[in-house]
Amino acid sequence: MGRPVSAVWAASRAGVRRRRMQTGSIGLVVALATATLVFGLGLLSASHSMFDDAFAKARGAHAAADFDAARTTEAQVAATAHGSGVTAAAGPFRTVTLARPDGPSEVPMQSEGLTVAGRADPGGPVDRLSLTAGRWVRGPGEIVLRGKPMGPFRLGGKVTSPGRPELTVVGFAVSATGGVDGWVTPAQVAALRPDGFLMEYRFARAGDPAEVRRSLNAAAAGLPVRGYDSYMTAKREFEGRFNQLVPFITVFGILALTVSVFIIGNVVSGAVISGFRHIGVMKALGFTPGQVTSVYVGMVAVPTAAGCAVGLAVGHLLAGRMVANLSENFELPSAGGVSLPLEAAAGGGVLALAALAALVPALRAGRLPAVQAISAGTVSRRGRGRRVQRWLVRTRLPLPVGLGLGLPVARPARAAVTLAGLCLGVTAVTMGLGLHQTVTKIMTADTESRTSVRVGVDPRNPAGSMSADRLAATVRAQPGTAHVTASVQRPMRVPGLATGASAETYSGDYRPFLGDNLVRGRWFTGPGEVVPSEAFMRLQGLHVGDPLSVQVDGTRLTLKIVGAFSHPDTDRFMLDAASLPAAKGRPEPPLLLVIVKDGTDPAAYAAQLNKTGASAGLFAETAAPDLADRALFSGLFLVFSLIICTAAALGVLNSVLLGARERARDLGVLKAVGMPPRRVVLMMVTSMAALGVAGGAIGVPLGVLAHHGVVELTGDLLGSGMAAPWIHVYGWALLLLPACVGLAVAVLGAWPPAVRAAAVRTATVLRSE
Amino acid sequence: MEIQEAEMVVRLEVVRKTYGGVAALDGVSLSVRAGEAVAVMGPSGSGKSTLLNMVAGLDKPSSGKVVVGGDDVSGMGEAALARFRRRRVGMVFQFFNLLDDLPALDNVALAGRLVGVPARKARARAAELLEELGLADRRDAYPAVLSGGERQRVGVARALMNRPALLLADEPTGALDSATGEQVAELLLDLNRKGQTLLLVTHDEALATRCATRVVEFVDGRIVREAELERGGSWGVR
Ligand SMILES: Nc1ncnc2c1ncn2[C@@H]1O[C@H](COP(=O)(O)OP(=O)(O)OP(=O)(O)O)[C@@H](O)[C@H]1O
Ligand SMILES: [Mg+2]
Repeated sequence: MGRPVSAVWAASRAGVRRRRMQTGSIGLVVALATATLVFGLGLLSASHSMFDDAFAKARGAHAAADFDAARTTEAQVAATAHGSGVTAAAGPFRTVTLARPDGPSEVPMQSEGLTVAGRADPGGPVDRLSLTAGRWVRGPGEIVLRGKPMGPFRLGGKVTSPGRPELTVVGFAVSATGGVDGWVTPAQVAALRPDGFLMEYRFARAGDPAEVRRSLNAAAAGLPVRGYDSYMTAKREFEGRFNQLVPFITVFGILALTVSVFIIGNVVSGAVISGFRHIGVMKALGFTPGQVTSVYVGMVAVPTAAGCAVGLAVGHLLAGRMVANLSENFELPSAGGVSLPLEAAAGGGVLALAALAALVPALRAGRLPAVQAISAGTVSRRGRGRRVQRWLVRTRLPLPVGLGLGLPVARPARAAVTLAGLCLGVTAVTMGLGLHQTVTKIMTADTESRTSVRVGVDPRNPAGSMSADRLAATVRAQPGTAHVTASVQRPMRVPGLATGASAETYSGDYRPFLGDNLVRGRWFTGPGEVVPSEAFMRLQGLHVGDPLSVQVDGTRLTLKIVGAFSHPDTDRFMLDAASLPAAKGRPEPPLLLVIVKDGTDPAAYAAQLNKTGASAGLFAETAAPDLADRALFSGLFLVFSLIICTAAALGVLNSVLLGARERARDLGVLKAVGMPPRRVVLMMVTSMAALGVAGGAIGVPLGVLAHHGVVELTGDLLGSGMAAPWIHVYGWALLLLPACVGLAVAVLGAWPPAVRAAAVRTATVLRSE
Repeated sequence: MEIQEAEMVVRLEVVRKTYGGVAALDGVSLSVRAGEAVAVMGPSGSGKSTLLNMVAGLDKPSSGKVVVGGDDVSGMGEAALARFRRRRVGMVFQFFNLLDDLPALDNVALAGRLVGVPARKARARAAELLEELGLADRRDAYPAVLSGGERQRVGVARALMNRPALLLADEPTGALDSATGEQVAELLLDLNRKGQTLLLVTHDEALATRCATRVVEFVDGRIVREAELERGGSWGVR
């Protein structure tokens, strides 16, 4: 038994050695495809359960309860940790809410102030914090803020509050639990005159908001709870932001899976098929069909296994990095990349796929009669292909180009598979480019992203009683102002919305602030017109032009719907402030939005306004655009495109390699009659360039169609609709780029094996016939 | 001396070629004058094809010098060798080595295209050549449907396409039966009579005696015998 097995091994090993480039390319393709697969799985699992994973990993608290220190003792609060239904608890941590200073604050603070807790270390049984920047607090005068450094939130910033010592920001941390905005040392919090206790619980039962409330009541056992944060709030908030992206992430993930499966199948089976010519020899030597099959499977087994291992490792790192980025972006602790069992399954899947891809043609190889096997590798004898080749050679095209263009015609099946690989790559890149544009546009389309500086009004100050118009005029006087609008939110009753709605009213120079997020119709241009969210329009089955009766402050009025903007919430309405009757009683102070003139630095503008407007009670902050999401998507897209292009290029390389081996004799003849190596390279590269151009021509429209489909479907699924500029993102440049990618990938992939084929010694090739 | 140089189409000076330590050519010196027809003979593995490849610029000597038409082939780069092959020599192979995907006419025209002849002119000359070689009616046939003799004649036409100073043939009749081999021999003889310099490798004594003006015999990479021939005569100096 030992003898035939070792003969099979020897033949396989010889096969591997004789085809170093092909073996290497199989290894590389499998590695890339596996990495893509793991990466895709990472994307899919992240989109599916990112919050839950992060919550589990950080042992997030189901509820963070705030107890009044004036009415409870620390021991009483600590005892709730042993209450019924509590599976784990942390605290009590002493808390205090630092009031917002009257003037400008270096670290932007909500009007309700900044709640901080005294906490010795970020670990523990519940609510493990992950630092995103800087370090944990070590001593007095230091604070760690929730989130990540962004705009004016940065390391070294100062937190000031009237009558309290100044705190320096030494770090940023994220938590999967709501609760406090910052953390200081327990000693420091004592010096800040704390007035509350924070307890964080994990419960046995916390499936929905009601269950969380019941579990908390049971745990508190009658102790007065001042307020609490349920993890459900954090989850909802996260989902609200993240769910928009899920379809895109899913599409990226699925594309990655498809491309990797296709390429592995193509390359591995191609390798086996290309060896068919040796079958005759093996059979003549007395190899049984089973042994022939084993030789072919064995030949691809080694590079596949090695590639798979490398791919798993690279994919693991990439996916981990990507999930960490995503988590950081959504201010969640990282849950790590793909789970190990899933990665193991991915590896197993790749090996199984490769085995299948090798086995099918290898079994055929085993059964093939020797004579037929020898002719299987020779060139097709198809009439039409011949005619095309003859015609190409007779045209005025340079000879290598004419001959090169004829090569795919001679091998239509292989050309089709290579073309399919190129198409898939171009489609994926086209779609990816478009999705990237779409996501970028979605993220920058709303009013917020057009605003450069936000100006708030302190209600305790004289400005609090100024009219919105007067406030806007004050801000407009500031040098560098291009546009100002005053925005006020007012509660509004709308038929069909039981919980009420909020009217976002704008006054002044509002046109430049209205974004690109219109799904239909137009923006309001004056009083009497309203633009609801698309979700509301769909819910009510309304159309542009329909009247809408609303009730504000007890007054009924009818507005005309002139358009709808993309948003998944049903209770949002935008309109001109003059549409609504004047507010009864003291009006809510407006938020002023500013667009600065070109060349004006928003930060400098805000600083200046904080100086001049402080006495009037105005405080300005730059509107930090959330660029992180965009950077994340750009990165994701880049990695993804690179992987797909490399995989497609390797597919081409493989195809040229096979073609060159089959046509070794023809190449030898051409060289013998005096074709210089450079022209041989040109010929081989031309053959693939033609496919690359075709791949671009087919792949780009497919990618555009797929993009439109996915974007529209996403809009429908979310119920938010998609604005036309988010769907029609492709300009000339954006279409030309992926089309060129097809050509570039084909040429780059064809180059190395073409150079090699051209360098083969003619005498050797011709004597082997 | 000057005149001699000019007449010399091929000159090999102590050429050695080794493959992994084994000498395929072991210090061969040989000259071919313009208008000569030299037949190289010898047992299998004696280095005949190696010699021909050396002259065709398909392979390089390990040591020694190969001069063809005044150019030192052994010192040329790949691109120069390609230029040399397509302008100076024409090569005929035992197994024809035609491109299966092109009809006879385009196989021949191809060689012309390589030296920059426009497609139409190249096809016209190829048609002329095929007609001369008696293949006028087979010009649009693919190699697969041609007989062995016809294929070899297409091969010869391709080799002659650029009017080479030297025609090289390695076992041109090796894959043909005796009757078709005869036709090819006739063709080569005819060409030589018209002034074409020939260097051919063969096992076929009949071919050698028929076409050659000189026979060189190889054994183990060395020339063991050389003889001028009375054309049409016998393998005289036996
Ligand atoms: N590319 C090569 N690699 C290794 N050895 C070679 C190579 N080419 C030729 N040889 C060796 O050099 C020697 C001469 O070979 P060559 O092909 O010149 O013989 P030949 O006289 O043409 O034989 P035949 O009559 O069988 O064609 C042989 O021993 C052969 O094995
Ligand atoms: Mg030989």
